Amino acid sequence: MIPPSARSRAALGLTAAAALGRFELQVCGICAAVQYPPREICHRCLCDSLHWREQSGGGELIADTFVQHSNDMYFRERVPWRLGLVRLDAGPTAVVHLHGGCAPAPSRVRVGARLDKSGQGVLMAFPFDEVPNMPDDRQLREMTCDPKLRKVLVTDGKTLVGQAVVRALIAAGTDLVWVGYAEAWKNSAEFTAMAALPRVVLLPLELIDSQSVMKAAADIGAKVDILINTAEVHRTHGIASQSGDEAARSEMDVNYFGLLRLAQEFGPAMRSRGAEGQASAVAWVNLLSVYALSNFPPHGTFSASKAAALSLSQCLRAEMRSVGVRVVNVFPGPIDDEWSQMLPPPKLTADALARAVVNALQCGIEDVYPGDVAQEWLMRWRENPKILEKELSA
Amino acid sequence: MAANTGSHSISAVFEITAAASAGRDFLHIPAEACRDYADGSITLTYGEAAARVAALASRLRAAGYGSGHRVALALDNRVEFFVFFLALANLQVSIVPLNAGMSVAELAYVVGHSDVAMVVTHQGHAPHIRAALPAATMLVVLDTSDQALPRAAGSRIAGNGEAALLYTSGTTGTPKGCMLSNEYFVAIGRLYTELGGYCRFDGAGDRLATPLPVTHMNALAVSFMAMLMMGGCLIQLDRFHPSTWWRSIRASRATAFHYLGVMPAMLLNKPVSAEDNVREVRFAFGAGVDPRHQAAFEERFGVPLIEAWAMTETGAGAWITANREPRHLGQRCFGKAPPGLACRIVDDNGNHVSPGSAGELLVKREGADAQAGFFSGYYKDDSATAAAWADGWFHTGDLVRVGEDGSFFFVDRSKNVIRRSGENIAAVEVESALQTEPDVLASAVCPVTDNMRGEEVFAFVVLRAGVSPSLDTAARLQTHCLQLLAYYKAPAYFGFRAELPQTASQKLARAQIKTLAAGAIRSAQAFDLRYSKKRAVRERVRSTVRDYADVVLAAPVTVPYVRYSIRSAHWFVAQTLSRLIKESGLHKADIDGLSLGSFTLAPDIAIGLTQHLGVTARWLDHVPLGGACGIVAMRRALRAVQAGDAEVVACIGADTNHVDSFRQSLGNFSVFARDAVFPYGSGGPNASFAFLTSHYMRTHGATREDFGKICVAQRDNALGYPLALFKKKLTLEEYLTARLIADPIRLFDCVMPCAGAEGFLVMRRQRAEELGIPYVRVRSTAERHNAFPDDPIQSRGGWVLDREHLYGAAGVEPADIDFVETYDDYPVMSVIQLEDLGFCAKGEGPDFIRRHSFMTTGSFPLNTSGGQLSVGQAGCAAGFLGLVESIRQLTGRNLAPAVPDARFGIAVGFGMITYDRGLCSGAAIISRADA
Repeated sequence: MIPPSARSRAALGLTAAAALGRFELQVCGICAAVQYPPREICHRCLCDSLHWREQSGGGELIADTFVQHSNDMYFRERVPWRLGLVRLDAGPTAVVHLHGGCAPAPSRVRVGARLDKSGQGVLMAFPFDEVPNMPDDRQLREMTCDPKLRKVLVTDGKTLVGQAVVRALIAAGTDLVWVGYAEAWKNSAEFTAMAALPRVVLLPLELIDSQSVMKAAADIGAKVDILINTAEVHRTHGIASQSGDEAARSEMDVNYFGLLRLAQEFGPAMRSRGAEGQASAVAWVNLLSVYALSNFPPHGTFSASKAAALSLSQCLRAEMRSVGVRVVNVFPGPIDDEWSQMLPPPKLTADALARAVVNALQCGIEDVYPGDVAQEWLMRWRENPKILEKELSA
Repeated sequence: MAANTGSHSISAVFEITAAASAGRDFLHIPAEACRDYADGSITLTYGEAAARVAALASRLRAAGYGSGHRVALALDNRVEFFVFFLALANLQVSIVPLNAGMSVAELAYVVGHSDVAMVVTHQGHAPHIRAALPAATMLVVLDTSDQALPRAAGSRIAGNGEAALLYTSGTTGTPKGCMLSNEYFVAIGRLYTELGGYCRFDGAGDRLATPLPVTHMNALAVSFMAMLMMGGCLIQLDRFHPSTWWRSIRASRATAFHYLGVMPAMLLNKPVSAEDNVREVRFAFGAGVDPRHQAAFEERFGVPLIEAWAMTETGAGAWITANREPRHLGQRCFGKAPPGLACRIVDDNGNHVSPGSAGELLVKREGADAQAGFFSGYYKDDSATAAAWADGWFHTGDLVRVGEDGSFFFVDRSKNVIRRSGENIAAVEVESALQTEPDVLASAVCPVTDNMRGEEVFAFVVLRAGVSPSLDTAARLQTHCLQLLAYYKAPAYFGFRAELPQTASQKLARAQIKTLAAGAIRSAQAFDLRYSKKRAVRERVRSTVRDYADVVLAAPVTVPYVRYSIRSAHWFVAQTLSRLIKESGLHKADIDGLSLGSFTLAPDIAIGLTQHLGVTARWLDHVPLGGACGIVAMRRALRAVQAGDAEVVACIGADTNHVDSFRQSLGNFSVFARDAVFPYGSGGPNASFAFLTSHYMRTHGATREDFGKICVAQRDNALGYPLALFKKKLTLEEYLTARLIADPIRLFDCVMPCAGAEGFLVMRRQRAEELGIPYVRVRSTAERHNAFPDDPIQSRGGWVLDREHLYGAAGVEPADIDFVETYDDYPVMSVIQLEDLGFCAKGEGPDFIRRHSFMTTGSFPLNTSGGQLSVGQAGCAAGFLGLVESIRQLTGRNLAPAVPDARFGIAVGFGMITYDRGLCSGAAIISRADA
């Protein structure tokens, strides 16, 4: 059961921004009018030169109500549901989901955009100034995938990133973390330390082995609320710098086929538990790479495997959408690990990446580009993917 | 800062002040005073004003304007007026302020007489002004862009130093142009700011508010120059708004304001409130307060009303103010003569009157220049100027007396002038206009007392033999005057007499006529046409919307409502048509026009129904406008029949309701609903109206009990209407404790979706009479879509913009309406409609509800068949419900209990909540055939 998801093409701009955790409205390039609801033309000057621009979200709550009765099946199960009408400082009036911490109208609020359970952008008004326990709001938690009090599977605890993610989850109040591990004979001090953390349960999991994945899914698939796939193989080759396809195959086997195997085995169980009220499967996180957007030739085969994984994740997202399980893609730039030693800083630390993953779950973000390199890369890609390709091949 | 009083021209005063006070407010227009052209209040600092003035001056200079030119400004009290005034003053160009309320004939006279090089106006007045201009006169219409100014073409005729040519009504018919010099303006500013006593300016934070028009000397020279000299802020309103006056004063932080005599009366008329104390206002400056009101006003509001006397002609030269004690409250005292002013009080023969007696006031300056500070004369009328200055004294025309302590008391005007809401109206001018109507043999015009306007215009007319002394004749004569004169000059009262009283010298016996007029009103021997003088009415007279006298509504039918139906909307349309045929006695083939409103015909639209029903139509309309579709369908059908495009139009609103169809229709209602409402789970308009209702309750103090009273009364009405779906009495207790839907909305605030249909026929009146079927007349209609898009939340509808037209065109007032059928999808909308349609002021709905009873036999019959709240909401049929019920009530074929002796009803349309508010509003005033 998910909220109404039909949107006009114009309105999907709101969703696109919300997927990145941004609140954007259409601003007219000619007369500067800010408008909402979205349209294909400027309601003031009738031009079609509209740009989505980030908004501060400040506004006045003019009226508020608790809906006690809804004709919609999703909301019917969730009433009373708090709604507000906000006059944004930028001009338009908006119907919004209303955070429980907002004072009754008239009061100052800050409007933000979130993805709802259907994966579409919606507006929600928050108290203008922070109040305690804001993320715990019942309606907000419908829009987010906060790991707090949820059960999470991290597919690979052997990597620095995997270990950092586990630590961040524990810190965020996760109820239980299953940590997958392969190559049981090879242990590091970091892995041992992590395994000793409270609420951590180790789980043998070889993504290159269908049987292993199937067995893990049979054991815990029906209990996982959030799956975070941190497993990856990263070699630093282009095409010319290697002979044979062994390295490329092993990247593909984990980065692409590993995701496919996970999706086939864990997907059905999570789908059946999607949008099930408070104790439901809520999110699936893929650790991709910003190289998935455009090939980084020095890491050419790795880029290709991540591009394949990105494409597959979009399929997974489409299949998960109807049950309200959010697929979160993380696109880090170079990480400060052994595979990016040759690259100059800035590089993302494993802890920073882990924090970004947890934050994305807490804030309900769908596409995460953590760190300066990823942000810059994204900006260049959004502006013109062809130019980025030419820059990278220079 | 010290007052800037050393300069000798308006421009120099402005430049010095602007340089010293660049960051301070120069001009503030509160939001309610610029609704017509701005989204919110406007504030201009001296620095900003100086920049705009300089930019405009350089454009004007480049276009060739300079000393000796005159430019007419028809810009109302807008910001642009002041910017133009200062820019033109900078170039030594004189201005001619034009009152756009003048008739075309009057405007043409003033523009022609004043020899202006150019006329500047805004888009609102452009068509009217253009109609008055000779082809050669250039008109600049301001819009948002800086369009090029036309090259200066007129001759440079204004005398050296002339800043303005201001037309006053005069007493003899045509307006007179008073030439006002720069010195005149500066002297006024200096005199006023240095008066002292109660009139204290402190130069630090003076903020002076005035609702008076810049086409009068008071706002043009007194308030404006005072603030310019003090570096204070002029708070200029467009006009006097009684309901928001104190809010404006408070919000704009006024320290003083200017008034007319009628203002205190209207403000005292409002209920006492906690907001009455406005002691931050130091004083109010004006003239003509009703003696009964002065002390009461000062007591209640804590603001001294400082009475003063001056004329456009006398300026600072002769100006008397009661700014110090003794002020002799309530005795029309306007103070003592200041040093340097010489006064005489004379009788008709020019002799001094005995001390304490009344006589005409003559004034001049002592010393060498008797005319110092006065106007420079009447333009192109030396003889009138000479007459005014006969014997070296200026003849004011005002009757005054002087008390023992030297205080002056106003007695009356000896000139034949009517003073209505601050406008001087020459009786002779109105008489001249009446005289051009062939049915008028003779006329005499005089003032009568009016509680709202101070005075009103009364006309006695001797009619040509054979012309009936009826209300129709009076209305026709008034219309004639409205076409020739500014609206305020047209007579509000007419009395018909066989002859007019005359003096021995065969002149009109004015004093006796005045007494007769007052008596005629008291004994109801006069026709009262005050209402039709109002604003929108004169718009109508100008644009002459065609009325609906020759077309009528007949055959009201209803297909009984059911909660759910397995029938299609097509079935309901067919049922309606069949009933229309039966009710009217027509054949199906006689119906050659079809107008359909429906949401549930899909995939069909109206055209498909012609084949379904076997109807051949030569006129077809599809109006799926929900709650507005009845009014809109009717309007279009009326015009089609009037134009001969159809003989008989069947207007039908029909919808079916299947068990799940309402829910399914919600998400597909509009793109905005799908994108921005439906995803929020409100599932229909309930949440929108919860917002609106709670906002209304919070803003205006309405309670659930108020809304409950309406719902309960409507249910009582429905108990007598056999077709209502609700058949059980509703108690207030049940209403208050019903299931919560979206607070504060509970179950009985919401309509019940159902299936059903309504319809009526539109045909020529003659056809209805031939058929022998009862019919009603349509007196006026209006529709308005997406009105007030900038309101943050809906608190009013398009009715606000249309009500004056509605009543004006119908020739009735709210008090004449016998019942109202609101569009009551939620009770709050009924209240908003009653306010917007003028039954009570905005925000006074709760009080109105508490004062009235709403049953058919109550003090205010409302939704006489029970309204949608008790009958059910059958989709688009709901937009017909009130109209069909109105036809039934006014043809005496009511199914619900009759409203006793109903002659006029209003049916209201409202609907299409595509996002956060209802976009459509409409209304029609319907009358009995013989009303």
